[in-house]
Amino acid sequence: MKKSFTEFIKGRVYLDGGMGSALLKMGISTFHAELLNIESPETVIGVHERYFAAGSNVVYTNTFGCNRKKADLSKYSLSELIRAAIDNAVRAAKKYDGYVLYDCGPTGELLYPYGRMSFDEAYSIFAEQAEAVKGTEADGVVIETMSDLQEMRAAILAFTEITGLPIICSMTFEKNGRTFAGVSAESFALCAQALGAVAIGANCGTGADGMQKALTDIVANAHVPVFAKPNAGLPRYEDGKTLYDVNPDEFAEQIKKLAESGANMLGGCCGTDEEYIAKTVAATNGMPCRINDAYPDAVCSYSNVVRFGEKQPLVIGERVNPTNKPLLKQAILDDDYDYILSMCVEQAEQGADLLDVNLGMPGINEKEKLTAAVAFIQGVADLPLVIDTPKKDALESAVRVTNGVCVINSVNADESSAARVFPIAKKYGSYVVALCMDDSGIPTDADGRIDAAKRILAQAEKYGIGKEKLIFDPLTMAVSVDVNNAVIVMNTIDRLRKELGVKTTLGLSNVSFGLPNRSKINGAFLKMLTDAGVESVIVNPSLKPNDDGAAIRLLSGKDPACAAYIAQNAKTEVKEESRARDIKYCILHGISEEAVRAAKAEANEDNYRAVIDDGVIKGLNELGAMYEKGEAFLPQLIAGSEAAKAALDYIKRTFMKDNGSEAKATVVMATVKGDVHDIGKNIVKAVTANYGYRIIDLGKDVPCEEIMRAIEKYSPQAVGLSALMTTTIDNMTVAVREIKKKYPDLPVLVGGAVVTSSYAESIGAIYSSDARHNVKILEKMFANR
Amino acid sequence: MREAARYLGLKTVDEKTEKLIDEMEREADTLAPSYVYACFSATETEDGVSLDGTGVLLKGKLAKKHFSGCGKVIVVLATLGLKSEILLKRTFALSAAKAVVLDAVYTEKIESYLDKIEEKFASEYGKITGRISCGYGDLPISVQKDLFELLEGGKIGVGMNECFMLTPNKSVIALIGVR
Repeated sequence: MKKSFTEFIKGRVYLDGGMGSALLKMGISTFHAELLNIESPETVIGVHERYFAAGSNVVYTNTFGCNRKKADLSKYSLSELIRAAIDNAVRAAKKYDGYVLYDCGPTGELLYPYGRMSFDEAYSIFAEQAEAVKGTEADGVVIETMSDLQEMRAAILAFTEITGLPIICSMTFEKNGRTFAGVSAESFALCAQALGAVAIGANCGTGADGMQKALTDIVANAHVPVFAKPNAGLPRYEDGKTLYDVNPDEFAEQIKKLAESGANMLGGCCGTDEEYIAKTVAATNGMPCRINDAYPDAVCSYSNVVRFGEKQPLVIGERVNPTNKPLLKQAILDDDYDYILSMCVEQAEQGADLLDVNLGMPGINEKEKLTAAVAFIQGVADLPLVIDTPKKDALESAVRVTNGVCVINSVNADESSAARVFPIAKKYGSYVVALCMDDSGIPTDADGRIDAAKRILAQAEKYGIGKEKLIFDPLTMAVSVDVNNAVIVMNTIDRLRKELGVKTTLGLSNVSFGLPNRSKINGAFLKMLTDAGVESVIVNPSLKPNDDGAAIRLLSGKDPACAAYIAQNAKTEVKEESRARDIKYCILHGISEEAVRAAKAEANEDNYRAVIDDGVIKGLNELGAMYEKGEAFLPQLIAGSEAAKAALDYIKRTFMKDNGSEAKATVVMATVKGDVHDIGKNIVKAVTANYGYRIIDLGKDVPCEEIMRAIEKYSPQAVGLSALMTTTIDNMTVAVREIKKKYPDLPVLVGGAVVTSSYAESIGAIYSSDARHNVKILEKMFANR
Repeated sequence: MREAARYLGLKTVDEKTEKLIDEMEREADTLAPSYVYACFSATETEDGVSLDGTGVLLKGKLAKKHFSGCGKVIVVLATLGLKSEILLKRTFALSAAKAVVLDAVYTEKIESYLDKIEEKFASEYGKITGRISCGYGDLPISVQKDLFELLEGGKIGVGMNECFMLTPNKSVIALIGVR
């Protein structure tokens, strides 16, 4: 009996060569080659048969472009084309006892955040194909030639959820081991396996030699079979034609090296035909195959792999959490993901290895916001994420769009918690932070916490999750409540590692709750944990370890009632060094760090409003005047307004508490539909926000309906639109008309390279020439409100 | 004065801005720009210049004038790559002032990259014209779509929307005549 596909690929396997190049060789155009499946099935069957005859065991169906974005669907439905293609391949395969994979190529469009296509839309394009594949005689699915990891994830999920067939997948890498979208071969390998791919590999690209680095990286991170399907060398363009220079003998020699590096399944892509396959078989048949057993212990973003044990401890940045952060709360309410992104990028710059994302606050749709935030930040912040929410719907939705292998925060020893978290972790191959507690609370001693950990391990096993995927947090309580609290944590960590052989982490800052100079205690605790070998910590990445004697005594339980530590620290609450320069100076010179220092020195409970008026506002006005006179330039204007914002943020945070939302006016801003140039709008946004306006930024390429929805939702006092190209200015006209129809009194400011004051007037809008001018217009309207 | 400073519209460059430009140039040096091109035989027609065998017409007076006497036209698509978009967003998240400088550095970089590509064409093809792009003069921007499809821009990670705008932003389709 024929082996199942998954069993069969554990040995040496030969895939086919290119379909397009085989057709071109026969003088058949490959333009809409999917039509051949119905209009000339014998041609397609002939290509498959020649590959089988040359030694291929597996062929791909002629469906590379068979999706609603690329295929010609004027005569036949997608489902008809796909089913005909599978029938053709199956007919050829039956003669040779071979296998058939449904071939799925990329959609040809860029996914968010590079392009406009959402994850859900990409999924639906693949789901449509999967529905047609379901119930056919295909032995599996190959997802190939992918450049964007997120697109590949959408495809794997669609075919897995709908067909249940085994899936193999490959991406196209450049010589440096990355795709043009920056996806590393390592991240690809981890991510595809986490989602259940039964084989992974590389295809197309710059030929077998150019594939070497990517392939080596894939093999090093694989515990499933690896495959290679390179082009016949580097493509060359001559008189509008694509040519390949590597002949079948050279190809076979080159691909042999890939086999030596660990590729068990071999075939060819563009420029290859049956002769290349025959030579490949002759050159590599009988070479030993290998498959790694070890599972790589790592998480990743699309481009960045973080391995447990590689750095100790790994730092999980904790700052994206709205508890006690009024500005972050406001950003979450306003969907201001730029603000969240800057927190992420700052933590990355400070040395974070992973980023915890927690948007939990009352009164929001957490599922929607967490998912949107993850989608927005992950392409730029580029670190593996820790998805932190107790809500099941928010968790699944956010993990689903997380482009990489993430950590879920968290599960505890309760069965209901396990039922909520583990199925999601299993499906997406995520790691999980396991809290050593249950719904009745945190056990007071180490024994109780170890017991909770054991119960979590048992639960995980039931769901098919091994202990390597769990990271145990023993949980710390404040030493001000009980001086032994840190000691219990240190004991628990030691026992978790030695008795249970599991990875550990700790969200450590709670240990210093209620005490002065908290960063001193936290830093000392970080040092103790590092020495004890904890695998990761959840902290503010700016925290530096220290070996302060009093703090260490305190954390070792040797300072009853924290008396000695308090005596030493109560009066020396670290004061910022005295100011060197005043706020106005810092704004005029664009130095943000010093502006904050100056604000700390100048402002207090009684005078902070005067500091805002005399320091921040005057500084900004003076800078604005200099800019208008040509004495200051754009970068200085921006840097100055950033310094003002930094000082203002400090003052708001410190003295205005939950009043961080006090803004002069709300402005909805967008770059109109079709327009993808947004640097101008972003500059206007940055400067305007720094003057104290609340900006709802809808981004670039924004359809009119979305602008209308935002106006309804946020009730802004003004709208700002930008357009840069003559081809998109019509969309601005339409947007302004729509806005004015419904909100005749709402001021609309327009700007951008092609916008003139007479054009603005003609459509009933206000012309804004640049960032400074924009602020001036708004200040005239709203400064005194 | 440095090109990047010129793109920023600066009249003078102080030491601080100078340093900022240096820093952003180092950032931009981590990018790997790439290009694809194809060379087509070209025929002058009544309304413009057609690229033989492609059905593409470079319509208008500008094309006729610019490519007059050219037997071939090279179409080239150059891009700073998707990483340029990510790096710009990342920089914006830290400092808008840096980002605006980085954007100017990018502009300088893509232009000088195209200069180098032109030099390469000059050594391969002999006498060539300067480069023009769709949207210049009366050469319709819509032709950009045909050229993009001819070059299969998606293969080097460039996308185009219905308004013929390219992603990454720092991508250019240029036309160069061979005399």
